[in-house]
This record gives sequence, C-alpha cells and structure tokens, in this order.
Amino acid sequence: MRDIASRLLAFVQDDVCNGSVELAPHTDLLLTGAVDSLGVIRITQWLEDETGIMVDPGDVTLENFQTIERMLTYVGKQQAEQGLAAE
Amino acid sequence: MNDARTLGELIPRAAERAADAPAVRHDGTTLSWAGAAARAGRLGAGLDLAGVRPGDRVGVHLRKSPEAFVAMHAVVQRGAIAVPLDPTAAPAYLAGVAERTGCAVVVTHDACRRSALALAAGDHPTVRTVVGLDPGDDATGVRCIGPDEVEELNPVAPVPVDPGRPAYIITTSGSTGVPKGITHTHASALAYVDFKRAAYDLEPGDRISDIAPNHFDISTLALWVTPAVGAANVVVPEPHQMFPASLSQLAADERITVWYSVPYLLTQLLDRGQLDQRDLTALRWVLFGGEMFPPQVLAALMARWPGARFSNVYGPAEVNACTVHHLDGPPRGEEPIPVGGPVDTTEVRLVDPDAADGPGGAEPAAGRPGEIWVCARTMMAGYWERPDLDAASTATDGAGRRWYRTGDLGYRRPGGELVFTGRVDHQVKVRGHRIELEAIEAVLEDAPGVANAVAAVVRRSDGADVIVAGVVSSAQAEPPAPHALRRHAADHLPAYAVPTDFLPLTALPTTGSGKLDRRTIRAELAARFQPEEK
Repeated sequence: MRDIASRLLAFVQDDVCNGSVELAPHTDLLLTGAVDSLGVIRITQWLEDETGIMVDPGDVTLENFQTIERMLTYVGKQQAEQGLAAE
Repeated sequence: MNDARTLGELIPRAAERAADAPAVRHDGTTLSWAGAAARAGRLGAGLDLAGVRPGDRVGVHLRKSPEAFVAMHAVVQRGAIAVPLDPTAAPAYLAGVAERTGCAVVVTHDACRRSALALAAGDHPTVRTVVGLDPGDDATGVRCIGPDEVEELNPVAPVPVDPGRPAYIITTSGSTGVPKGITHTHASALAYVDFKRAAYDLEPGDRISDIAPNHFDISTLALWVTPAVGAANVVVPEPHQMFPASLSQLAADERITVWYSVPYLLTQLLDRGQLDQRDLTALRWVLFGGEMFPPQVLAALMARWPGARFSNVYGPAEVNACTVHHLDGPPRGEEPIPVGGPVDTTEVRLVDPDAADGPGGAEPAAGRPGEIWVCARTMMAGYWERPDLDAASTATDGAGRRWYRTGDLGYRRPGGELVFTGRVDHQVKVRGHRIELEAIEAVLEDAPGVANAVAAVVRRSDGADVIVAGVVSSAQAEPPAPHALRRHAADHLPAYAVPTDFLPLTALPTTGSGKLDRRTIRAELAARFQPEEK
C-alpha cells in the first residue's frame, strides 16, 4: 500500500496539478481548487490502471476523493471487496 | 410583486414578505430571509467601517456560499459596485482586475485567506482593507476586519441609490489580453429579473440551483431573482461540480425545482450522475446556456427527466439575457437547438455583418445568416472605463435607442426563431466561458523566450473541451518550460483560459502578407494535439 500511496501522491501532485501545489495525504484537494473535474477523471483512470480495482461511477464522490488518504481508504476497501490482493 | 427599484431593496422586501421562508440552503443549513437581511445589514456596517462609499468598487472574493450571496447584496445595498472575483484565479491576475476597477476593499472568508492576502500584498496594492478575515502575522500592511467584529455591528439599512448607477462588474476576457469589465446597473439587473419572471413561472417555494461561479453571469439568476420571487437559493459548492454523483445527490436531497447551468454540467450528470438512482422529480425547469448543447445528449436527458421543462437561454453577459427557447419535445436529428426569441421588452435584429448601417439595416431573409444585435433594458451601462470598447460594440438607431452588437452569428427559422451558428471573430466557449484565443496568444507572446504562440480548443475523448497552446521559442532562447508558461498565463488570464498543455512548434505557415496564418495553425494544432491520456 505504501508504494501506491507515494505513487498516487506523486501522480496527483506532478501530473494532475502540474507541480503547482505541494500536497500532503490529508490536503483537501477539492476546496483548494487543486483538482478540477478533468483531474478527477484522470485520477479515477489511474486508480483503475494501477490498483486493478473497478471504480463504480456511483463511488466517484466527494467523500471518496476529497484527499489522497480518502482515496487510499477507498482503494483498500475495494481491493478487499473485489478479492484483489493489496500491493 | 417585484416593486424594487434598486437591487439593495430586494432582500429587505423579501424579509418583509416572508421573514421565515428559506433564502439560502447550504450544506444542510437554512438561512431565512430575515436572517439574510440581518447579515447583509451587518456586513454593510462592516463595509462602512472599511470606508466604502457609494460608487466605490468592492471585490467579492468568496467561494460558492451563503457569504457570497450576502456579500453581493451587502455591497449593492451600500450603493457600491460589486466586483466578483474568481477565487481559483492566480493572485496576480486578480490584482490586475482589482487595479483596473479600483477595488480598495475586498470581502472574503477564511477559505480564501491566502489568495485574498496575496491580493493585498505587492509593492503598490490597490486593495487596502479586507473584510471577513481576522488579523494575523500573515496579514501585514493590510487592514483586516474580522467576521466576529462584523457580527457585533448593528445592521444598517440600504442607502438610496439612483437605479441608473452601476451595481456590479462582470470581468470577461478581452481580445488583447486585457480583461474587460461588463458594468451592469441596478436597472439593467432588475430588468433581467423581469425577463426571467416573464420567461419562467417562478414562484415562492421554488428552490433554484446556485451553481455557476460568482464571477460568471449565469450566477445572477440565483443572486437577484430568488429574493425578487421569494424562492430559495440552493448553493452548490464548487467541489460538487467535479463529482456528478455527488451533484445529483445534492439536487435530489434539496429537491431543486429550477436548474440553471452550462450544458457541460448536465452532460456530466447524464454520463456519471447515477441518475437512475436519484429522485429528481421535483425538477420542473432545466435552463441551460452559455454554449451549444449537443442535441442527442439533450434528448437523452429529456427522456430521463420527463416531468421537467427544458429551456435554452441565450444572451451575452453584456445584455444578461436575450432570447429563450422552450423545447416542446426532445430534439430530433443533429440540427442545433434554436436560441428562440426575445422575452419581455427585448428586441433582436439580424444585420448583414458586412453592411455598415448597423441596427437600422434590413434583416436578411429567413435562413440567411446575419450578426445578432440586441436592444434591451437588460443591457449593460458599458465596459468599465473603456469608452473605446463601448463605441465599437454599441450603436444608436434612428429612434435614439442603444443596440449592442453581439459578434454572434445566426439565422432565423421560417417561424422567426433564432438559431446561433458561430462568431464573427475567434471567440470560443469552453464550458460556457467566453475565451478570446487572441488574448491567450498575446499573453503567451509576452512570456520570456516566446516568439509566437497559437492557442486552440481541443475536445478530449471524455467530451470535455480544453485549451492547448503551440509555442515557438525565440531564436536565442532556451525553450520555455511548460510550467513557466502555465504560471505566466495564470498570472494574466482568467483561470478558465489557462492552457492545459503546451506544445513546442517550429516553422509556422504564414499568410501572403507574412503574418502567421493562425487560422490554419489552430486547425492543425487541434487536429494534431493529443492531450495526455494516462
């Protein structure tokens, strides 16, 4: 999980936000305006590609995507539910 | 019922009619009209304390919130002129807006603390006082009037003001790269209220979505119309707009009855909003505008919400609203959805764009294209301190009436309904925002190391339009880094006009006169450019 955590942080910070912000796992990505709607779509795709989970559109919500920590919690839950081994 | 002569009277009158009725819904809380009146009165006292006088410009630097609603009203209640600022824009860009409009005072809240203070920093800041922030070590050289201090003030009553005086300024991009300030008066805004009430049967008990950014003119429906009608304003915070499933949940929970947004958000709702799991039967009007709605997407949405009526709204921010088209049924085929016809006292004329006779000229025959001119009470007073732009975009007819030249092209269907077809210039719409490609190019060409720049709109595979820029570096210079270009663009352009990707270019085609053939390059760029898909 640690690997995913650091790679997700790097992806969001460097790719989605173009290096314009310094992020921590608990940074509110939405209130800071750091991530826009296109960014959310890219993050969703990244999570599917890199963790193997299927993200149900109904799960793409504020609650699950507010911070990097929330995303990781969601990924962990999905990996367990979808019978995937956590990295 | 709308007997107000100035915007400042709207909330006090709503409070007199129905003190306890809901004014603003936000995050599960309700602000009543009496509560809104008291808060606007106290903030008004705070503005007095900050030295605001009638006619002064006041920046409103707030996220979508009850505070933003109250602040806009509080400013106009003092006879001052509200300048809504985009809290996501770069401070340098906003400092430019504040400077050009002369905002010495800005109303903000803690969520925008850093950018509000950045606005008041710098060598010669225009902004001297910030209302809504507590003082702190990070706030040097700027006076802060904190929220608790405002809370303890006695509410003040609105000051009388001539309805012909300016009330608010909407900033939009200009083709040279310098934004222009569309200045509306109390009278033009109240005429817009009349227009909306004539077009839609809005009533107390309606719950109207407040979803567009405060600096975007679509937001004025919720802002000015709700108190006039006595309807409730349902705040949709910015983060919800990124999550269609959360957005549809909010619309269902709040039982929104009137929706107004750009088509992009409705498309997102249809694609990812889990609409089959949401009860949105309270919706009775779905208004959309700002850009063209793909007919087949609209048809699918109408099938999803059979109980709602759909209406296409057309009108540049300069005239607030211009025409509407209520759909009788789902659009068939690919023909663009008409923008319809004028409402209330608004008049629209099509004029041959090459003819020099302005609004007095003859209309082209049905089906033939022309430029859209508008004569309306909803029209702006003018561009803020830009008489040159006023002269270029307005004309007076033989009867002495002012007409606004939209720069939009259209034709009339045999029944007289107007259909929008495009622009006379290079202005484009991205998610409803007006963007002048020349402005982006002019700004980028001022960046260090850039010789030429060309901007274009690209539609991504997910259906979203983004702006990309091709850049030719100066002969001697290192090619500028994308992040440096992005920073430069953000400092000078509204956030929605900052390109998402930059592509180095060489060897650009030129026209016969040796100028860059921008039209050709834009087309090539759009075709060639594949935005990053990871």
